[in-house]
Amino acid sequence: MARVPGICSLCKDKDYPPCTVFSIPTFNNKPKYHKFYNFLRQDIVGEKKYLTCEEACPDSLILDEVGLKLNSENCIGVGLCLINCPFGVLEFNSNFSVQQGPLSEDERAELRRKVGCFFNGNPFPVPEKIVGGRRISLETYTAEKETKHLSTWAASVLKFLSGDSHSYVGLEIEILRAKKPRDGRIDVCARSGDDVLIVESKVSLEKAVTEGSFHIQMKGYLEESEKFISKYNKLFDASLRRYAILLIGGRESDLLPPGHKSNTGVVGGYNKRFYEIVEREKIKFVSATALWCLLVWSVVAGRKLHWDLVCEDVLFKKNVFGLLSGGIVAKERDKFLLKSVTPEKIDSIVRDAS
Amino acid sequence: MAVLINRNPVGRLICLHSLLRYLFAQFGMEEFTLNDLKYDKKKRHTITDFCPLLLKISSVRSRVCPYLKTPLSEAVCYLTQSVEYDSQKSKSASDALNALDGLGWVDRGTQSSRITSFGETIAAKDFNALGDLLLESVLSYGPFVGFLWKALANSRGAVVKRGDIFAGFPDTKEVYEEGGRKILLSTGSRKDTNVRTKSVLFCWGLSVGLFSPLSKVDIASYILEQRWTLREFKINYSEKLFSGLYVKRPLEYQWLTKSTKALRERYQGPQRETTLRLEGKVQNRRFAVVYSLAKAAEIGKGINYERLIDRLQEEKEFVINTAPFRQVMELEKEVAWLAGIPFREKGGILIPKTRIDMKIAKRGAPEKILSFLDSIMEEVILDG
Repeated sequence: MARVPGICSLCKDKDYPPCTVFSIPTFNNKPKYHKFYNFLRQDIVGEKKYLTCEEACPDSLILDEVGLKLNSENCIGVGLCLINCPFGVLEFNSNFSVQQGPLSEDERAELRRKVGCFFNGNPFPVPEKIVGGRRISLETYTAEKETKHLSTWAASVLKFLSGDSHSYVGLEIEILRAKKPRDGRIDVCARSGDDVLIVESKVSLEKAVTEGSFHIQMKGYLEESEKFISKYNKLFDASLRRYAILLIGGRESDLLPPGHKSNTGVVGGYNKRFYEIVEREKIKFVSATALWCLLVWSVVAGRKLHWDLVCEDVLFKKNVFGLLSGGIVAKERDKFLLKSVTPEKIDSIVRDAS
Repeated sequence: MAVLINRNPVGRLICLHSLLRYLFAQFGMEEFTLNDLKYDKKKRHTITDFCPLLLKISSVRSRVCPYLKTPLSEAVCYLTQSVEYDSQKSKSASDALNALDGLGWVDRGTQSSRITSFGETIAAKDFNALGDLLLESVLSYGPFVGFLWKALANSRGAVVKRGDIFAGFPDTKEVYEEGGRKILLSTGSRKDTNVRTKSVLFCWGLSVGLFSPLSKVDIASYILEQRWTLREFKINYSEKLFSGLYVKRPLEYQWLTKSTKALRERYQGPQRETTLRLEGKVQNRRFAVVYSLAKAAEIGKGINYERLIDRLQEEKEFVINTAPFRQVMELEKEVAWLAGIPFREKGGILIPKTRIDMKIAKRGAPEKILSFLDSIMEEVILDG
């Protein structure tokens, strides 16, 4: 079929083309506070629909009688449309906007060169656009509306980056918090095979620190989830293992290690306090930008950096505290450093795209 | 029935108008149930057929309610939710129906409701063409009238601050002792309810020009925003507004207390049970205040509040704890303005500023309470 640049007519008769709307399952919440256990059991009771790009890049996707028009000018490369398209007709261009392919060889080479800079020890600047007089980027998108933007986007990306073909994700999974029974809600859960990921989302470093409760929340989730996982493992003779991360949206440079030349989190002492808490409570954190890098790398390479392997082989290693677009945040000789993840390391954990 | 509304969606009168239009198209003057308010794609008409606020999403063939948490939520309508997806367990639909009733557009019954002839007139017009009919509608609602009074009373230089008004049931902080245990009764509105009720009533006031923003804010656009953030308002009315005002939808007897059943389970079991058990007495004494004022208003007189308290104190149907009864009643008289019959106080005499529809107000009141109150009116009512 001949492709008209910028227009895809594959789903033109659908009210909800799959690249514009995606679904996330909802899980049984009975008995009370058992939604996490029901998540493990994949006790799905329905699904909720979400728009891919409408919130992130207004008017970047327009459906009319002809088909779906992609307006790459407005696209900041959030990537939801791309990963949800069942026909694989969408690609990142060298500016990380999504377009209906194919790319020229030169553009593909440029894109690969840029992606090669991910995790190389230097923070990667996400693309920015000016739309309607507003500066927008992945960072501005994930810096607001924690549930609507950051968590929903993360859930879809984690589903894409799952190795198991039966993997699934969930949002706002209720779990008991002993001291505050009604307040336990895990922002994002993902399961891939025997690996379970619990994600606590915060739209910014400042929010995480000023609220001052993310470590208490995560501790509570870890304790409670452990009980359910043990119960599940015993009942089903399984060997589930659990990872928990703090996902932080917004400006990634706020999260750079203390003393890093590009650190913007010094004002208010947020960065310092954050690292004190993270070290004391042994919390693993990931920036939204880093998660985006995993996504883009996987799409461009045609091979996936599965989250479970990233957790096992990269993030959940001794002395590693976080993952940013420039690499891992590790502590060496009493100092936090941003260190690259070598191409060899990446090669060792990458898998063919399923 | 007139009930205290407390959910934000009903602050947008245009949404309520769309709902009324749908109800009229679907049911005409026939009865409908609470569930009929919810969006149901199987019905011949739906609220989305009449809603002018729906947003077109460019990437799908859909128009959606702009106030939903997620645009493609199966709730479809923020005001009423849908039959397929109602995370609010009919609270949204119920509050919308209460608002329609409060405006006089609908008569809400226990099992079913019906559009009134006034509602029929409203439904026939476009929202922007309602004019004075909208003012007449909001002035039907007792709590709104009382709210206007409170705003005026708390204003300084014709400016009122949101924080200066409490729009809820009085909290008497009564402690009931039983079997050696002291239980704090839950008679007052919670802070979050108060905030929500105020938000709604300020929006209504803005919609009909009784309030205006201090800054250059477009009122129509402000009301359509997701959040209402104004804290100060200019008052565009005076005490003259209340002169001769007849409130068609005062709070009725059984709705003079908050929904105690809604008390959450978080360690509030004993409080909830005890408050429920004693609720009748709270309703009785609050109704006594409203009824006395209403009776006095009918003949242009006031009530001697001390005398009323003296008489009520002698009857067990009004008294929970004997000792602090007088202090409790000093707080309880605030319920009068919430019901729609605000008053001026002068030397212990309460002078009502409006009249209310007694038929509505005394709905559900026990006969023996009515008889008792009628028997003491002569000593309680006196010249204002």
